[in-house]
Amino acid sequence: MGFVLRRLATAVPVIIGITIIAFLLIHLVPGDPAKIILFGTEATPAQLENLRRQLGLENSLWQQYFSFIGQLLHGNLGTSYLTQNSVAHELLSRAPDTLELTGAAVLVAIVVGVPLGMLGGVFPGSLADRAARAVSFLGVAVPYFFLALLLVLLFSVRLHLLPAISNGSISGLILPAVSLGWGYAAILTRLVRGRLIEEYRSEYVKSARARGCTEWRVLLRHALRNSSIPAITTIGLQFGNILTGAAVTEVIFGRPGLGSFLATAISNKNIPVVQGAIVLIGIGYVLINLIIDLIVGAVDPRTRAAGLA
Amino acid sequence: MTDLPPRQAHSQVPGLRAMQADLSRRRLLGAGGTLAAGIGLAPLLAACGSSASSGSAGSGKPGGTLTMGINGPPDTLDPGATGLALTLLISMTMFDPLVWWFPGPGGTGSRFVPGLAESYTVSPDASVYTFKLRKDVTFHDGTKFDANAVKATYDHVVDPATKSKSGLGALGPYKETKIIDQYTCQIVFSEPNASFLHQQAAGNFGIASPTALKKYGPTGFGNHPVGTGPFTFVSYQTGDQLNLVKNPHYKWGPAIFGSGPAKLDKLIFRIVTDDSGRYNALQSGQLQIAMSLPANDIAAAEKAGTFHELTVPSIGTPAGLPINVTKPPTDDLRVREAIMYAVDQEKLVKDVLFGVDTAAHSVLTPITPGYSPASAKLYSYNPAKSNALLDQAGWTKGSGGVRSKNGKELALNVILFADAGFELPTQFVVSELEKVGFTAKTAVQPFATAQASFNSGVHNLGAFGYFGTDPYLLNIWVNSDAIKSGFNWSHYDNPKVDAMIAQANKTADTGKRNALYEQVCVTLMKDAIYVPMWDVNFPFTTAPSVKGLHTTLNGYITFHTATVG
Repeated sequence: MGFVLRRLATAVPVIIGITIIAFLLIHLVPGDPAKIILFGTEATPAQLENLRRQLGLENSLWQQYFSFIGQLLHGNLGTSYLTQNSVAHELLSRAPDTLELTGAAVLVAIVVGVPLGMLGGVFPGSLADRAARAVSFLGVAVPYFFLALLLVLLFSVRLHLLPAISNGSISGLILPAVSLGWGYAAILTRLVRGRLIEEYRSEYVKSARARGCTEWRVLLRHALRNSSIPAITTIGLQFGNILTGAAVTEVIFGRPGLGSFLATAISNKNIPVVQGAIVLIGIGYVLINLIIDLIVGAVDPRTRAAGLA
Repeated sequence: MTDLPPRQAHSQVPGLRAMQADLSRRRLLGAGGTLAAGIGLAPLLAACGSSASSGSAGSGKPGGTLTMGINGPPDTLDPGATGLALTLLISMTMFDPLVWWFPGPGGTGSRFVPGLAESYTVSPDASVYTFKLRKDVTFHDGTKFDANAVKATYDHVVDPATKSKSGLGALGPYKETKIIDQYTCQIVFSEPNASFLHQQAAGNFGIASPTALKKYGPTGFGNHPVGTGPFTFVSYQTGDQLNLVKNPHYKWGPAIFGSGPAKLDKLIFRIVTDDSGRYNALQSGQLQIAMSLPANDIAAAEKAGTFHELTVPSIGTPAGLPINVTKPPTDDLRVREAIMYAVDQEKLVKDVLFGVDTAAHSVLTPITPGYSPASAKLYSYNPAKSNALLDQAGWTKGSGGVRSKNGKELALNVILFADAGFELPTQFVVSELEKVGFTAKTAVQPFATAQASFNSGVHNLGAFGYFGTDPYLLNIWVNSDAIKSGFNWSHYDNPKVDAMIAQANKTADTGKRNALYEQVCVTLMKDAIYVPMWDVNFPFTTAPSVKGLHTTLNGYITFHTATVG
């Protein structure tokens, strides 16, 4: 319990930092935010004045920040400049799509990466190992957005097997999940392979074998369990990258998720949406890492005592 | 992936294409982004070339679903509130204006076609417009259409709570809508406003159900649009797609389209912000129309021969470079004329813009009312003449090919704003100018910074472009009151031109008005205050199954008679 509380306590300053950065955004854009927002809309001076008041621009920076935090605590992320709808509502309506994509990509990474890594770790130097290393080498070397374009060209444009843009069904999820997940699968393959080879050399594996454990038991119960900790930690650390990748992948496949929403908001200078998305994605990232820490703690009691993961 | 390809970028910028932004983003009224209607460009207009009002000739089997890929999300579905041309492209399928404005027979000129008004009259000073309304029209929610609805719609646009981004400006000096009887109303302006007939057809003033306006409120209406158009709103999955079905009761459509209900059963607008994503989805058959593909994809699609290209020319001021008439050396008319003669727009369009756009030669595009063919013939590409003019002005060529006078080089300060697609075309222009002895320094600035530079006048050449349906738009960028804070980035101060434009906007007679505007065009070109570069064209790439699309004069396509069978 103390471990969980400690982890939670360290998350708080990180989240406060995220809110400060998100808040300062509007002031980092050069020029009068109200004018920038209304540019090109033939706004009247009265509209400008209204917007300034609405944004609270005449208050001090501190006052503005505390009112921003106050709103945030009430779940209010402001109103989208573009649509006049609630930012919180718009973000939450798009979050499931991003969760679906990142979840599917992590699944691809695990389902593809771990078995390939096991193959290489158990039979290092074999033909299977060399094939697995080639696949993972490509996965690490080829950027996901390039892979996405190649997959679309082959499976959608040429073969007409899978949709080029998402269509709300599972078939529309395959290409984005594979292109986003492949690179992480490659990382996992290399990691699991390397750790397994190391674990197989250790004393406890020798003693398990000496006790008469089957090779399967040695692999699954002993070696793999110990190899899984860095793998789980890596998934957590990579999660930020997966979210970034999801943004680009969503744009390529026309998925209505947080990432494509954020990309549009940035080009529209829709600051409340950008702020809201930063806060939401930032907190999501902190939470995922918190959960990963807890999982690692559950798998490996040593980390609980040490307080690190 | 964060770099927008130039075409898409255009659409989002406030400046020029900016003005036409992609039908959507800050692309001003543009289609793709946020473009605001006034400034952004959007999907422009009408059919180009051969067929006047029909983009894709013929017609196929009725029924079926057409999915069109658009390049960004609409800001709202309320045409009165929107700042995006993209929204207007969509909303024109759900709303009808009082009077339509279409290309003329054979594709040349223009004509007004009755919409929800059977007829109209304009007072001689163009300040009172009287409309006789149709009596057989019903909104999608069952509300009967009458003068009340017209008043509710126009009052809604000017209601501050609506936060209208482009409609309010387009409406001008609106005073009130007077209900004369149930089917007669007058739209009254506090001063003459001859541009109103063009403006009311441009999309912002589709007539809205007064019942729905009341029920959902001034901003809520944007999520629940209810009009009288050929398609009825079903649902909008935010950021994903917009679903419409045909309105089976529709019988008040433009007579030139046969007036009856749409032929399609369903119409879907699918948001695909990635340019190549739209092209891929068109190739995989998920889309039947893709808007605003990048020029290289359009060129590829044309080569493949699988798809059709419907190019809609723009209305307003072409993309170009305002020449500052107050800063040396461009304060000398001969220097400005030399610049005009040194630029080969045809080559620019062919080499730099993949031939998707059209060479521009005047301050208005050819389909814009008031366009003067004479003004477009004043300067043809002639570097020898440029050289002669510069010699005459006392600028002599030095050893490096750069001209100078009294020890000063013939140097131009060029300032552009970013993300509007000006960089490459301007590089081309600068290289042409260097051939006749100019030297130039080019800076690219964020829009807000560039705008401040232009207003302060530190540039010799700037960047501009504007999408608008009425030549009164010249007022926003050549009027002397727009120098310090507006769009008069040529710093051009000519009381005669100010007066001619004001006079034109007070003239209800179309022929006389256009004659005045033509005179303005000639004066501006003679004074050499603007280097026109290209007329922005809006490309719609369609699958061969798509037939019966029509184009309007203000940059959109209509789906009344579209088929996919």
